[in-house]
Amino acid sequence: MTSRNYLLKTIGGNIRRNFWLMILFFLAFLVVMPASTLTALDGAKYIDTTNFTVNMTNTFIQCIRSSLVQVIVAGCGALAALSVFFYLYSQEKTDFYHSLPMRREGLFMAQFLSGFSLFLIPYVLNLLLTLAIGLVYGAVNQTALSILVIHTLLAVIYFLAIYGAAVLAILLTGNLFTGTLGFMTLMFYGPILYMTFTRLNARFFETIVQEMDYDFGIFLSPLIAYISGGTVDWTWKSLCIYFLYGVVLALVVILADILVYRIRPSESFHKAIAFKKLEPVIKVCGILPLSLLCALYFSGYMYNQFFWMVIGAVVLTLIFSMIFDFLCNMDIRMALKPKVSTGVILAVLILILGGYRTDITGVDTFLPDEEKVASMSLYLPSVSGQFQYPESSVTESPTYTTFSLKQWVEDFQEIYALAEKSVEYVRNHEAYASDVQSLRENGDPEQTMVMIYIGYHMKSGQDVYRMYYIPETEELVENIGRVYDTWEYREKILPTSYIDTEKIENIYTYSFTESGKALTLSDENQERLLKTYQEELENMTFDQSRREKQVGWLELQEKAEPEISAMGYSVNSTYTYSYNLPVYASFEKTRAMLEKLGNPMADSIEPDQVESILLSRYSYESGEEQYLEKEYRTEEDIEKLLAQATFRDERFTVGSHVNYQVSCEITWKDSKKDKIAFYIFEDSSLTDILEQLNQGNTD
Amino acid sequence: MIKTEGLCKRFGSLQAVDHISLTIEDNSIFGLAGTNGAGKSTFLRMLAGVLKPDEGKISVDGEPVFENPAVKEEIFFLPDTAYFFPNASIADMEEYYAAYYPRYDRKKVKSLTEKVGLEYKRKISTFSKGMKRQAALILGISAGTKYLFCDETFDGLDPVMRQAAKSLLAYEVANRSFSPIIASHNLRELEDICDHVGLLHKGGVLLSKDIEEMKENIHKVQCVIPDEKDEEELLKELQVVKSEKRLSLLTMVVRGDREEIMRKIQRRNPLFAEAIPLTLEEIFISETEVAGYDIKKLFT
Repeated sequence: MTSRNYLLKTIGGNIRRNFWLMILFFLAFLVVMPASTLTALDGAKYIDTTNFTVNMTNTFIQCIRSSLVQVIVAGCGALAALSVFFYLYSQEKTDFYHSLPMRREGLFMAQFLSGFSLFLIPYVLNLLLTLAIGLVYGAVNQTALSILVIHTLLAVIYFLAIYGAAVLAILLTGNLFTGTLGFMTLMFYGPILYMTFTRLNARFFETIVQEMDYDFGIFLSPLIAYISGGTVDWTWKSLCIYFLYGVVLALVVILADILVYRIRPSESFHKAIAFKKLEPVIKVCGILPLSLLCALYFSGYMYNQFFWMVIGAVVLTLIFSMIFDFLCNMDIRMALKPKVSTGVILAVLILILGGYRTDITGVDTFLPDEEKVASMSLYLPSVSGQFQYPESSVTESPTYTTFSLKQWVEDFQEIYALAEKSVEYVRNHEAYASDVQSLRENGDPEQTMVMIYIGYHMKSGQDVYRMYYIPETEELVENIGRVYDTWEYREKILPTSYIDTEKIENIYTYSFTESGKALTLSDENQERLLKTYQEELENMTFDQSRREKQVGWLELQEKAEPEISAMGYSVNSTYTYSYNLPVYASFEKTRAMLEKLGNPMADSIEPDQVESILLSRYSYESGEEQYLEKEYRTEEDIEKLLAQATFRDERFTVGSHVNYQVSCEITWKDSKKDKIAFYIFEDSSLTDILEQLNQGNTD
Repeated sequence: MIKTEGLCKRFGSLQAVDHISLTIEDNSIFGLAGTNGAGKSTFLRMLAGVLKPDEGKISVDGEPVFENPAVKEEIFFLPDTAYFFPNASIADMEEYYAAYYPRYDRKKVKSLTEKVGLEYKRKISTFSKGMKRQAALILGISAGTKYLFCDETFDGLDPVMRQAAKSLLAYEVANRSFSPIIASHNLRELEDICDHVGLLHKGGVLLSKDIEEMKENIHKVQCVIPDEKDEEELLKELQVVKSEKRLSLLTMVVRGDREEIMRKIQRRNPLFAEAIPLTLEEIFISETEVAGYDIKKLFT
């Protein structure tokens, strides 16, 4: 009998013996592939009859990309592995298979391919059925076909990776319980480790910025990578990464399977872990992050978090160690005996917590030599936070913070000076961490704090990101001003650098007197208006931006392009994306154009239109929070207040002269007009008015 | 020929096999005796290439057995609880085995199945324990391998079937190059079939000898000697391993040449004297006493 013959016979025999499983897989795929596609396409037929083909194709593609299919594929991997390698958990079966005249590698391949066939046959059959349904409904074009092929390849590759991992879990263990635990560990150990690391960083380090590593976490679990790879919008680059990762992972796991199977003792059945020598290693690697993570969550509810974290981690280590030892030996006395491995975990635990507590690596005071830095990036929520950016420019970043921190500046001396000030502040404040925490939680009404995100892009290729929360001083404001006033930085943070004027469909204006008024203008005028605005915004200095009144804003709406994948299909239908651009009093050209176009944006409110202005604030002077308000009705008071009004609804910019502690609300003489809110620039002319408010005069 | 040298296997703190050195000649039926936990199954599983020894060497026809398919093609292992696929019939199992054993005799399976009255196409899971053992033995013998390792294979067979199975093995040994190794905790089960017996105890081998050789050197005789003085002198004159007197009948287990022993007895003018067959257990008593073991305790 040739090796090919016995391989085919073994696979055939295994399929026959596990036919029930193949039926189960077939039914599961039938529900999530052809049946759901049929339902979706039949329903879609009547929804959008104007764009029938596109609608049907998109519906078909959405069915192919269903994450349910991926969940079933992953489930098949685990069940197929269990089905064909379960013999390793039984003495009789192990004796039977291992006494056969074949090498372990040969036996492994025969069993492995059997499990693969158990998945592949029902999957391919359902794929063909789905394709047939798509063809019948006219939903299949070249793009849909390409996506189908890509999804099939992804399914096969990631099935092999997950199935291989499940086999590895079986090979490393000796019973179903620990095998299941092992599989879950292989699937989620990476994310747990990463989560522990990031949570520890977040708990102990106040300056670390972790969201920059968002993409990294996906690839720590084959399951998450597969689900992500199957559902995210592909670019060619991301598609290649998902394929490459899947192929490499599958190969590594299968190779590891073969190597482990070659040396796996046949007598490992019924044991918790097949390799006795690995027990302490697995124990240390498993319990250490688990104890830390659980202790992190537990101590999060406590006032003295560090104390309870240490106590929690030690107690949990002892409990988890006992459970682990009991699972390995099934002997409670053995589980209660002190073990070297438990001591190792406790020692490492103390080292980790001690290291974090003392910031032994200097994370919070990190400041590289200027010569080692190639470029830097800076994100100031108080400056850039008032802008919104075109969606297309930030889609690859999960937040504006990460988007901004990817805008590198090579002329970075002023940013570096800002970093030096920030680090110096951290160094000089031993209680910096608790300062930040208490400020965040309670909000210090007396001290304005500035949040500064800095990215160091080193010549070595390493990127380091830090966030500082430091007091707003004149020196700091001047430093930020010097950064803002360099064109290289301003170009990168102003949204006008990213706006494609041709994509703008509608413009609305918001001013003191009118909100959301549509601007009617030709394409030529629109382009001219936006260029004028861009010029005025880009020419505005930092000092102007913090001293000038804002008189309104423009809302630009663009028809967002449907999400287009690497394959060129649209994931969803078209929608509108809008963003706001502030208009300052000095933007005379813009305002003149707006006036000409019928949407004037006056720099002040006529006092004779105003019935009264209500001022309100919270006072903490008495030690307790106290709400104060006063309504001003006299023409003199109204005039004084309106002269200092700025049209903002949130605090922005650094070193602002706007008094954000006092909220103002206008009541119009024309009672049909809605009340509007604004803030005021602090000025000596308002001293009396604010004095009256602070006295708590609530008449 | 199978040869083991200093074979060891440990399961955790338990030394299952402790430096076993044995030689098993071809074309003989080797009995592996020992109490439960003596290491018989572990030893057989190592011989079958299922387990990897911690120490020592196994060579089957001069080749190592572990991970050696060419050698394993000459070995069929029948564990104490044979495994059959769920819902499989003898025909299904035969088909499976035939893919792995190049000389698998499918006709033999069918003919033997018919002879012992088993249904060829019936699910094995519906068989009784004894029938499953018969099925396993038939499937093993038909593999055409040179070696057949049987672990407690006769346990659960009725006396008729046990005899049939023994005959079957004897027939195979007589007609082709075939060397079964039969492990059992029951010495009586081995004595009428084995040519050679190895006795395992606590993982080690107490002895391994040819039964005929042992039988040639030890005999059980019964006699009645009228003169008590003659009787005393006879007992001194013979190498008596064990003697017992009931009324006037003297029963002795004696070492030495049978003719010589009988001549010495005849010289004492016995009223009655005859040599009777020794059980394997009785042979073992004499062979293991040298090592200081009480065989009765081992097998009770």
